[in-house]
Amino acid sequence: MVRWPEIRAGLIAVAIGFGLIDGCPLPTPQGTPAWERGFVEPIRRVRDVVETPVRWMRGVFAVTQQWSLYQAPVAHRYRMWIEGQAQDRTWHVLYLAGDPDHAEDAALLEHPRVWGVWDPTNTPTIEYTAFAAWETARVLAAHPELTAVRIKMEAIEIGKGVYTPTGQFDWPYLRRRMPAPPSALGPR
Amino acid sequence: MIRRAWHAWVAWLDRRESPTALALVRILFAGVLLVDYLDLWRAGAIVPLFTRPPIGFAIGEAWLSATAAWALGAASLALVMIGAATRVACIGAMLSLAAFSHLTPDAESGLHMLARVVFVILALSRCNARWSVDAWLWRRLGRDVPAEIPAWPRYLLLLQLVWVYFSGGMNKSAGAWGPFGGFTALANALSDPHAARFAPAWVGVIYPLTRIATALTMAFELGAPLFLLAYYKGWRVRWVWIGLGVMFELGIAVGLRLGSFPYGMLALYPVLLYPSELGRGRPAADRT
Repeated sequence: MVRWPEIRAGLIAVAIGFGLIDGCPLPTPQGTPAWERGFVEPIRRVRDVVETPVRWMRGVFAVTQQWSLYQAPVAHRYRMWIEGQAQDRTWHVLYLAGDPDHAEDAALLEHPRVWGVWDPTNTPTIEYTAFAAWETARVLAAHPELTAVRIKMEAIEIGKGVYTPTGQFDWPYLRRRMPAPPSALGPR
Repeated sequence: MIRRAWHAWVAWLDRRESPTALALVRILFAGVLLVDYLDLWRAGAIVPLFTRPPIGFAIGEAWLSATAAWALGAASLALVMIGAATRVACIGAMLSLAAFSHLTPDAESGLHMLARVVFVILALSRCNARWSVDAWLWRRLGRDVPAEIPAWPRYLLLLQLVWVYFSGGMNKSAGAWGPFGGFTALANALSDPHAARFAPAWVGVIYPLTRIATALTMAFELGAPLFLLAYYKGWRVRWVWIGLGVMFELGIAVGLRLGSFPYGMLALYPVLLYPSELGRGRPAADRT
């Protein structure tokens, strides 16, 4: 007769087995070089079939055994700018990453959970547009004197403790203040 | 041969040991995440981060609202930390973390995903057999509080921690982590205006050291399976791996703004020790 310790040992072995299969270090389909596709894609298909009984766990509990810890600190990075436009159409820097002289809203923006939402890799995060829409609206609400707010990511090159701006700005997001409706203009 | 291996596997998972390591992990790990949750509240980030536009910038759906998920998580983590209704609280913490992940996937670090695994294992363990309200209550009710608990949850946490590092090492595909990229990854990270805690000028001064540290980081992560061998054999050299891990996590905590990640990882380190090294185990029962 099978005893509980044996059942438990079997269940743990199965769990470890599924974990190792899930953790098989395969590149993403988009990130697989052409020369690797011939053997990576068949392995991926086998893995997906084997994982069928436990795939629901990944969806429900958002877990995987593929760990990507600080995967790619490359030299080509970005620096976020938030600027406001005054009535005279000049732009003023409100927030510039890594610049203590321009740190408006830094406590929220640089919170470790919030930071991950806007920090790009070589592409923007999936939340970036929603974040930029929210943040620009927040800045306009806090600064009635501004007519527009924009967020942009400046491409920089890092090397030996310095970062050099490239002059290229990616993924700009602009929000202009909507004109006040006639009823808000006061009595005639 | 297979039969013998199977019996050895069953016997290994049937071992019992002092609850000290798992109790420490329960208290420290839940404590780190509770601080993480309270910090979200202090920063006023809960609603914007986990609510869909226009109120916030979440992009997903979950079975709990932002505030409800936070309240469930904070209460559960506090209960786990003090060891009250520990099993239910572990599941509550896991569900809260999962809800946050569904709402805003990029707002979490590897620690939060790891926590969802850790809390399930803790829920299945007797981590509340020491330093807990549950144990105090059992004593008051005249029930037995075990002096030794099943060791397999600690073994699973140990394997999980080792796998996190090893998998992290295998997935570090950028050239900057290796010799062809000049081992520049840590210097790049410490100079990144988005991630670095300090202005980067000091990185240039210690640049060669950052390259050595990058190489050591890769050696530490890819050498993780060797720790298992050293642990099994009882070699003292395993302290080198543990020491590298502690330095790696403390380096992250000092140099980068990664929030609770390094502290949460360190909170799991008690599982890397033999029970006797925590002062309350039986030396003879440590190995294998």
